[in-house]
Amino acid sequence: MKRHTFNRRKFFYFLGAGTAALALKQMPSVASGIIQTPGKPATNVSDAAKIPRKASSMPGIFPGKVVHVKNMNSVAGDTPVEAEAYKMIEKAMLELTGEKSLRKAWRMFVSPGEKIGLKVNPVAGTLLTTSHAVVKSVVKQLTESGINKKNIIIWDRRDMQLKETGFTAENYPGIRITGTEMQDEAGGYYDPDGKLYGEHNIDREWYYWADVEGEYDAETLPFMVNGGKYSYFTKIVTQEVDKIINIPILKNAGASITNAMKNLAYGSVTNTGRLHAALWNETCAEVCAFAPLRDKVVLNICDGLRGCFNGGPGANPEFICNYNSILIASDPVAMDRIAYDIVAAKRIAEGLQKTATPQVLTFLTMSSNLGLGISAREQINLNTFDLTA
Amino acid sequence: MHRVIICLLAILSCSGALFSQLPEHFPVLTGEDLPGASFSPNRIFAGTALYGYINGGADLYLEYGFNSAVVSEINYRGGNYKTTIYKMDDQEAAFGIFSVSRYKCISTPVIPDYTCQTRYHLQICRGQYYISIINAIGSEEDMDASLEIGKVITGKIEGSEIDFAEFLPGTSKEELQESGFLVRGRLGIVNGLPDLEDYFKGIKGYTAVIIPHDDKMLVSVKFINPDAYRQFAALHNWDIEEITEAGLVSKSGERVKKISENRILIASEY
Repeated sequence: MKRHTFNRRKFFYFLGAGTAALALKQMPSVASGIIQTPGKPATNVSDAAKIPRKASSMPGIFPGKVVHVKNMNSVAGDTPVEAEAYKMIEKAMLELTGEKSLRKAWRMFVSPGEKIGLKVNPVAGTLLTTSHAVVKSVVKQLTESGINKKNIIIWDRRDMQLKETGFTAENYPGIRITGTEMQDEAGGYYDPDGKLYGEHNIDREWYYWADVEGEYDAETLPFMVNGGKYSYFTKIVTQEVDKIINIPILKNAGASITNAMKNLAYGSVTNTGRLHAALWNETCAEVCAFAPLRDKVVLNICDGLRGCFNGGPGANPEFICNYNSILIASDPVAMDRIAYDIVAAKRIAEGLQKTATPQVLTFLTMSSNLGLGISAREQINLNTFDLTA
Repeated sequence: MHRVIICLLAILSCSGALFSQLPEHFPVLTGEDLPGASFSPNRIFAGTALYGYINGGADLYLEYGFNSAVVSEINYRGGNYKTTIYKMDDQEAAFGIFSVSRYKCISTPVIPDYTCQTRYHLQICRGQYYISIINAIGSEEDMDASLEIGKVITGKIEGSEIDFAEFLPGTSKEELQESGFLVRGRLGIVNGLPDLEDYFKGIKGYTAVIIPHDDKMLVSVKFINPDAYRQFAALHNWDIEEITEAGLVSKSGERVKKISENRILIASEY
């Protein structure tokens, strides 16, 4: 939600959040911002529709089109190979766009002078992070396409996890690397004025409200920005970047997956712990329906060189595997649907389940209903290539 | 004054003093346990703060019943090891997490109570603790050191071993170690036995111990109340009055037997 004249937060504060949804039902002019899915806590997803869509809004310029490039040489031992990743992304970009020039392919999505955010996923630590082979290849292709390094930002929710997984100035000279929640070199989470670093980095004008209380836990999560019923968007997406290239990892989440939509949704807002159990599907879909993500995410590159097929989204070593795959799409929903097929096939091959169960992909159906992409498998145009020499 | 307090909090935060105290009797390692080892500061996560550590992965632990976790990174004998000690609400919860997490064990070292070792990962269930020790290289040396670390940790845990006799009388520990699953909800099912998701669809308030055998399975279910039992019976179109200690054969061929109040045993095709 982008704040305009009506201060919803103050309204809820005075009203008492527990009765907010009920009261809003009785106030049609206000209630338009709150949606109550039967049996689920209410959210403010309908606020997202108040900002008109743009030509660049999800699902972007190639709705329903996904390119899958395989390459068995893309991982050596347990280490992704940058040169192979580069070739895979190049092939996928050319096939997605139909261009013969890689520069032209990239320039369909980004332009010089724009601030480009690369949304990576380092949450599971060094065992299973968005690989440097893929991120460095993307950076290289962007710069070869005329994008200045100073206009590239690598980001995620926690700066500490980026550093831990090697997203550092040393590894990415000239590129800004940042997170919403931060820790300084001395290990502290507060600036000299006693203000939480993360507090500087959130945009209270943009929020996902859900009728689920998040407990504020400064003791065990000293970087946590806020509890309560609001999840604020990071300024990285609302103010700092013009375009976002989403680079998730191919992971399972139980019999479902976490990939493009989850990477964006949970990485872009605060106070997410409360949203897992009660509203996981809704959050994956609905947060992405708000303009900062809906209108800025132009490209999705699934790093499926390595991923996991069980125990996800954490990183249990025995479940990490080499998928040797890159998926690229402007449509994150279609890409997630294809990603599911890859993970499900692996789970079946490993004897973890007997059949694919795409009916578990509730978040993709919801995303499709919100106009963010195409989830129906039969409507997705999948192009697969194998670069294995 | 306000500013002074804020600055004080900031300083305390920098020093790490705002982190939780270790839960009482938590079996964490010290330098005395592993001479020559160096340890990162313990990170402690209690209740829903687990989301701050493993994100959505926390849901599974919370479904089983999670108390707290202590995470530490250890440098020992030249290797790096990440230990996470999860204290669950009870022994069943700890075995449950172990059962849906173990996979293709290379060995099952003899450490109380249940173990599974792969090149990179040693998992142990001991009492109400589930212990995960991850190494970076996967070498024989790393596996040996993981085992040594695991033995020291389990040596600090007192208490008796979980008794599965009430669930599955006559089932051996080896069978449970190798193929037994304990589930308490949808996430346990989808992580351990996803093909059974519909078998427990919509049911809450139960603990099931399941042993799959090729195309058959043995399921022992304990319900927390008669309502949960009735819902489960209704899901399968069983007449609850006909489920007796003598047992019934359902229309779909399952043999269903009442063990005790709110407990049943099912032998079924898988």
